[in-house]
Amino acid sequence: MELLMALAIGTLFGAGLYLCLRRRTIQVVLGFALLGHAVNLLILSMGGLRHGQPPLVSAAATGYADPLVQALILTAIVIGFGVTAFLLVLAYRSYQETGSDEVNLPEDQHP
Amino acid sequence: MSAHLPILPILWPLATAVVLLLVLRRSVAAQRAFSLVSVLGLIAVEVALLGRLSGGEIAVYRLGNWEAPFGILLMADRLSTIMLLLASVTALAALLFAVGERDERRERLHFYPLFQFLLLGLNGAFLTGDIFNLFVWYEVTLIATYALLTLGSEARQLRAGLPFLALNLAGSTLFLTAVGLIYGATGTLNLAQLSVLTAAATGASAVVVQVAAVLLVVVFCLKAALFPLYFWMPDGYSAPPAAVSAFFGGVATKVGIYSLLRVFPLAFPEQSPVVGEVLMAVGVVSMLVGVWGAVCQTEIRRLLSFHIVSQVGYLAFALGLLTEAGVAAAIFYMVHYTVVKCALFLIAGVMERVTGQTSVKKIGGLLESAPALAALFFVAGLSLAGLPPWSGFFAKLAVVMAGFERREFLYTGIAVLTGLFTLFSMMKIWHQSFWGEPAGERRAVPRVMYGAVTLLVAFSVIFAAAFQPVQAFARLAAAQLLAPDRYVRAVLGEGR
Repeated sequence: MELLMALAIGTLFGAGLYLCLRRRTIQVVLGFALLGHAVNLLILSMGGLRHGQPPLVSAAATGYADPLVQALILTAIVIGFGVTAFLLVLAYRSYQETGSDEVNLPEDQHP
Repeated sequence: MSAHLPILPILWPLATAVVLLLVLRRSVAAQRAFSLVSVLGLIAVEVALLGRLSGGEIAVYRLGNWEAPFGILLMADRLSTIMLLLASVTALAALLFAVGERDERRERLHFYPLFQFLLLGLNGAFLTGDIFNLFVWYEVTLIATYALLTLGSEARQLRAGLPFLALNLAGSTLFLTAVGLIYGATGTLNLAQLSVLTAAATGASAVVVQVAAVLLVVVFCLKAALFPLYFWMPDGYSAPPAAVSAFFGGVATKVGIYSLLRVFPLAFPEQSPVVGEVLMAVGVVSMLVGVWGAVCQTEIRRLLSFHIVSQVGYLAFALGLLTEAGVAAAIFYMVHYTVVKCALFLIAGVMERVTGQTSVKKIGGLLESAPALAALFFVAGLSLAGLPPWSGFFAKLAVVMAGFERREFLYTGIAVLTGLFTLFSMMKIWHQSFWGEPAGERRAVPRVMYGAVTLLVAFSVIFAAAFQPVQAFARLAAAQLLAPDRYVRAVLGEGR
């Protein structure tokens, strides 16, 4: 389980970083979305991976899964969603305004 | 009521923003008046908080009365109240200036509520007591920043917006990674408890803590726009209207410096000395690179943005010394420089308004046509360069003395040299824009814009005149900051 998570996180980080370094905005947006998932999985595994355990402690439970990391991830997902939406709108507006889909415009197109 | 004082600086802008959005949506005039009154009220609240905490108390506010370290908590001390007041005073000036700009198109696009949200995020970051909420408040600040930066959707703003957003998003990702690692290694996110646990970590956990500390340094340096992570800043800070760029330039980068001051001595006592060495080196390079960048610029607000890199370098150098004198110098420098930098950005805004030009080369003879502006620039510009008798001199003096005290002769020498370059670049603006033949048209400027600049310059003069009490208070704040066990006791109770 740990190995699988580590591989998944590594793959997501690698793919996200690769996309972030591309020139077109849509790829950068997708890259940041992947990076966000990678970090969320990282936080999840940092809380300790336990199979089939409830997140709340009760008298009958033999153990519990860490609920705090889930709360952290939930917050991070909400923030990530908002920022990604804003980034998409900004990318689209910038495309409308300049007719180009590149993050950094060449120097001669600057005002 | 006084028990709830520490949370008021967060609730106040939030409530203001909600009223602006829901009740006063239709009337721009009412929004202007209400924003200004609200910031004045916020300053009053923060002065009350300062009055309570100036004796050295560390106020801990437990949300929902959950016991630390399990609940979310707010923590206020001398440094955080200084930062709160700085943010509000510059916000007042920036808002006055924005009212003077009469840019009704942007005002209708919810400029004032967004400004309050920005203030909300900043105040939250200055008050939070755990590292995950520091991340959350960073995000609140950043989202408001993104919106204010691109508000109005001019092509130039959009172009500056994308790289700005991408780099800050990368920073947020790293921050969140660091938070995850810290939680994995220590099982807590509470700054005071981390103080105990990071020092006690052994084996693999200790390595993870170190990795997290490195990530945090990178993130905070990125937010503070230190070399080599400043590329997002000059374009982003010169694209929006002057009131916004003044507030960004004055306060927004200071959140990074504040976080360095807050998080490292408290939560990473073991790693702090190494971090200090790194910050000193990075700071000194920032000073030089920033000021050289500024010397090459001709557009006033871009030029001032490069000065941010240089000035933040002084802050990083002084706090990297990690002595009481060094941290006190950093705090005093931050107070002086936030006010002066904001004033200079606003002056640049007035210059653009009067002449309709943004480049120093196309502006000339302002001394004759706008003598009051020239006088204000004279004070603020020389203060930034560090000439006596203005506040910058005392700030730089404190930094240099702290540097010599720790026998960092090379670094301190470079700090002195940087002042010379700063003076040169201020003289360039003075020489080109204020002296010479008056060129181009002249337009009238609303009085209230001058009022905003005068307010800030007056504060800078007061800091110079009341140098000793302000410096003494900065010293107290630094002493408090460098004694993490007091925070541990205040948060976790005695005997832990």
